[in-house]
Amino acid sequence: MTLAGYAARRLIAAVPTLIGITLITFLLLEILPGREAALAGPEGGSFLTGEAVARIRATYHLDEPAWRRYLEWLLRLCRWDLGDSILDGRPVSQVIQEAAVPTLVLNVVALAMAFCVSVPVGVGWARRRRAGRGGAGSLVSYLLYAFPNFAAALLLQQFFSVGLGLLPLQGTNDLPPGSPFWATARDLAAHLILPAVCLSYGSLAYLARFTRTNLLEVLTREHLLAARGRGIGETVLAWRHALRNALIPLITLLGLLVPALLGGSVLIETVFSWPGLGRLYFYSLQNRDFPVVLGLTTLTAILTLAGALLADLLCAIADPRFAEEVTR
Amino acid sequence: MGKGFARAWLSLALALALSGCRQATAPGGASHPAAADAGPVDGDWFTLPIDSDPTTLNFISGTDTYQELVARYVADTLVDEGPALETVPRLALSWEFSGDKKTLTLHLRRGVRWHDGAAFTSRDVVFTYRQVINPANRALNKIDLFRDVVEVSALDESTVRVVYREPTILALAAWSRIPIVAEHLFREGDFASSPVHRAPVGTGAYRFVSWERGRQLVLSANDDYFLGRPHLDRIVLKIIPSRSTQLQALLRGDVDWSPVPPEEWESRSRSADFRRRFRLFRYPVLYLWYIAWNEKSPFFSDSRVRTAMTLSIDRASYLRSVYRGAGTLAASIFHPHQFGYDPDLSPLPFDLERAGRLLDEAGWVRDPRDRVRRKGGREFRFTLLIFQGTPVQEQIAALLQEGLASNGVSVDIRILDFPALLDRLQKRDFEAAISGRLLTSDPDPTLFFHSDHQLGASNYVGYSDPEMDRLLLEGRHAFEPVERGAIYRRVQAILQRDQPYTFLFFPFSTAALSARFREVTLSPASGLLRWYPGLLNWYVPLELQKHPRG
Amino acid sequence: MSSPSTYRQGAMVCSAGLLVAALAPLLANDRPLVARVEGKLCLPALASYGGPASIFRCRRAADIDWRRGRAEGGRQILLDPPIHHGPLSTDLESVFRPPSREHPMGTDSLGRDVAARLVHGFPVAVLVGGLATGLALVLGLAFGAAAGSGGRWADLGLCRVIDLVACFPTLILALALVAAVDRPGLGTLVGAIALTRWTGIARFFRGEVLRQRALAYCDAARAAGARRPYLLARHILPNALPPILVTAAFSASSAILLESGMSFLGLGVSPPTPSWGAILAEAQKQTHPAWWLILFPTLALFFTVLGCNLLAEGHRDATDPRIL
Repeated sequence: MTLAGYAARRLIAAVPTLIGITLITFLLLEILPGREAALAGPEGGSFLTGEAVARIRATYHLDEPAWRRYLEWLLRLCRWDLGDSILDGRPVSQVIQEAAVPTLVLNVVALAMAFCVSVPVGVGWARRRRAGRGGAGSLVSYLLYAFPNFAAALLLQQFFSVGLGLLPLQGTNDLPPGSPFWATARDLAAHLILPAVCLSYGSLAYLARFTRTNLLEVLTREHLLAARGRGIGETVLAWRHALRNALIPLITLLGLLVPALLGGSVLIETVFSWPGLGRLYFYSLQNRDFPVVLGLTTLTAILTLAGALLADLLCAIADPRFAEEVTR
Repeated sequence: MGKGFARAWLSLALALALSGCRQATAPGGASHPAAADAGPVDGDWFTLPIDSDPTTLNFISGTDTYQELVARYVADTLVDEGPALETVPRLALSWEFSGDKKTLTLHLRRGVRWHDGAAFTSRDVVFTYRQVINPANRALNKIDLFRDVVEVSALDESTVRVVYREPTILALAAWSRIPIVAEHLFREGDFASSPVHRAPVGTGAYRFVSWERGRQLVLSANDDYFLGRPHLDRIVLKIIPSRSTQLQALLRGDVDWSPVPPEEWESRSRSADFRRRFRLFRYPVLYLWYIAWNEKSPFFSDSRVRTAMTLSIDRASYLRSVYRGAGTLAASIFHPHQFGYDPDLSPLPFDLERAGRLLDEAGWVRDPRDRVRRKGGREFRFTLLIFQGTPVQEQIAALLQEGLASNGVSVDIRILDFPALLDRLQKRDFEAAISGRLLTSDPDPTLFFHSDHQLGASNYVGYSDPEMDRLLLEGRHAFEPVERGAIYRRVQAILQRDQPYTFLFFPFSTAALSARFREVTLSPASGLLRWYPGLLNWYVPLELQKHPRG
Repeated sequence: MSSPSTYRQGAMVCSAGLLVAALAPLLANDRPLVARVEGKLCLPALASYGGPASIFRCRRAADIDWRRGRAEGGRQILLDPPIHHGPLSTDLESVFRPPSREHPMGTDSLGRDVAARLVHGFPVAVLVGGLATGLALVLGLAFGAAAGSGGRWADLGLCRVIDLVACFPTLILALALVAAVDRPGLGTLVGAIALTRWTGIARFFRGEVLRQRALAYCDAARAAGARRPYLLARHILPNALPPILVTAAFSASSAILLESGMSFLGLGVSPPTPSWGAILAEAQKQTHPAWWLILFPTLALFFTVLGCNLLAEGHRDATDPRIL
């Protein structure tokens, strides 16, 4: 079987998975109590009478059987119509788009930070070539990896924002739109630092260790002699190998990124009031805004499956042994 | 590992302890309230923060408070509430009821214009009424206001007649909640999805200018307003999601008003610098925190047990220390600023011994072996539902649990999210629950205490008392204040006796406003912004203006 | 740091955590450890364990309030626990106090001692984390075994199910499950967390089962007449155990983090149960900095998670020949 065939098979297998995910989400939302109360709005919920409940059920077609509503939603999905948000009436795709931008910005920056710091650190660490596990560096990486990130968020916020006043407390920006470009960029950067650091330090530790481990394989005496014979110094060899091998965890991480974006980000986004997808998901769930929740779940699922497939394909291209194993 | 750890721990702790000592710096912007001023001048903006975007600017279907705030300035209602919750004219200059109180005739102002120049007439009122009662418009929190209305008709260009099924004291008050929308703008297409709602047009003192989602909403003064142009040029509503950020924005000068969280109140009110720049306001809002005891459960059908529950929680100390005095103890559902409030009725005290005696009387006796209260073999152990969001419910629940534990009663606390809790309340599927409730300016509590399913739609606890039922209906139809007051005093006495709910407290709203604004009056019940004409009288002396005209 | 050392450190930290969890009522309690009442010696703190331990109460017929009147008539306190406050005892006169002699880690919004709540957070973490991981293990092993040894169609179907659950963001899934259940309690929380953790174990064990079944010794066993469940239990599982334990240890630490995350958002353990996440949530809701409410629970969380991770890493380093 060729790689293309493998990809095709995965894509086909993804369809029932996708339908399954949306179905489960739909059912989960069905059994969540308090629909009518949430739909009546923040103050309306308190004044709900029996007739008001009936009215709400009629308005939102809640009296139709669940399977029919699910099928309707599925059919609309095929036309790429995610419906409208119940809370503010705007199309779900627009709502998601608005929240996706801050999340993407935050996570891309965090990922970039993690990579830009961890690869050089890993390289330098490997080149020191301490015996065994790596001493103090290893300890630091364990500590970083274990430190709970939302608690770190609170601590950093306390220290840098409330305590020292160096960095803004929350939100994405303080300047009104139309401000000069550099001022806006600086403002955004200032707001980004803390949340990005909190998101990235865990993967940073892991990646640094991974890089080091991989490099140690390469920096054995035999390899080095062979390389020097070819005219390549240790530095170049180390960096070339490091970067090539760093691709694999990067790809894996990207594949796993998407569910992490929503799940892991909720806490950080709550602490820093970052208007991203995680917070949107939590807020929509709490307020029973079903179209948005369904839309987000579908999107996540598609991206996760696509990401996993892409990760596997890229690994297959990069590593022929893996390709062989996969296409068997 | 050990020593290094300890040192790191200590230095981190030290750093954080130092960070707590830092004072927030307040940038410049001194104001001198004592400076002589030449009287009202036009100019300057009022910028205030709101927690999130309004969900919609459709004034008929919108249910959230931000949308209501915008509606308050862009549109007008027929009547409104003045500073003391009295009814004041707005678009309706005068009104009268017929002899049998079933017909209300409203005389509208003449010469009022919509922001687009068209004339305001009685047809707009009839049109608004029709939109509210149309189920397709989902006017969920307004449609019930017109429950008793038979017909609304325009007698002539400036007279509207409303016919009711039966006389009700709430007739006029209902019209203070309905912003009037323009009939001529919605002639084509569907009302609910009309693009007009994205840029609403009203008759109000401020015109809608722009709305950038997630950032701000801008309104600007209407030169042709029937009470005269408001002095402030603009109202800007900035979206700032968290209370602490709002306060910081106030300190920086980005906004002119901000709520002040209760725990900040003391330190801010003592700071001379803060008092120079800002005026602090504190007023009780029409909101009640309560604990509901379901009378269908075997535990709470006896009023002695319910009274014992109320006696088991030290509400006064809670308000004083944890809530920093930012609330008034409630003896019943009547708010101190509502009509009919009985000031002589004092809330039940904190008295664990008396609670114990009442429980003994009701048959819940302590088992000598394990000190747990039982009755007929059943242990006194119940589930208390709370919702997550603010710390109040968790704290009250924890205090109640502690108080009851020392009296041999066990409480299991469960957190639900708000819609789930409301759902359980409505289905009467709970034993005890803590919740909060907005009150209306009219004190009629029929919704909460009447035993009939329709009339007492919010009677989640299943309270039923024939005398109460009779009094509630009488109160609704008593048009004489003295008579009505006597009825409601009796209602409050019965509530004290029966304790269908444990009435916790009415929270205060605490806010700070930039000191440069003049003619600012606080309505003790509605606060700074939600009464009429309220903000329309504010102005800023020329030398203090941040955004002068021109 | 060599691998036995990592393992040892992890084991030390975890044992310390487990010890604190087990001894919590003896470490922080407003009842004394040893007291003399009416001439008789008794151990009131032990009675906090509940159930049969109540015989250690001082007097059968009365409930002594040890917080007030500590040295009243006839009572004599011989030994106090190191932290002589309970996790649930409120004191409305001393809310939000910074660390002091009386309260070395300060007090929270209801005047409860933070150190006491921290100590009592250990049993919560251990219970929730441990139970959730155990449940996840059972589910994961069952699914993995069924998928790996059930033939092609079973494998295909079950793999779809595993992919499906894995695609859900964990926090949201857990929150939705807790919200959906009618009468939520600790069991619901444990179940919800377990349901989000099992897929990794399932995937791994399926791989192991497939791999092992292809090996020679399995053929031999099958030729000798061994049935599938026997094969799984007696041969495959023990061989796959070391990496499973590693995964389990990592799972435990992420389960604890998940629980504190949920408590932080307000939908975890019910109040006033002392969960570290709940204490952090309180801190976040205040605008006035209460650094003691943030630092100490963070350290406790960190310490626990670190212990589990070190244990897992050390175990992996010791048993997995592939890692250098």
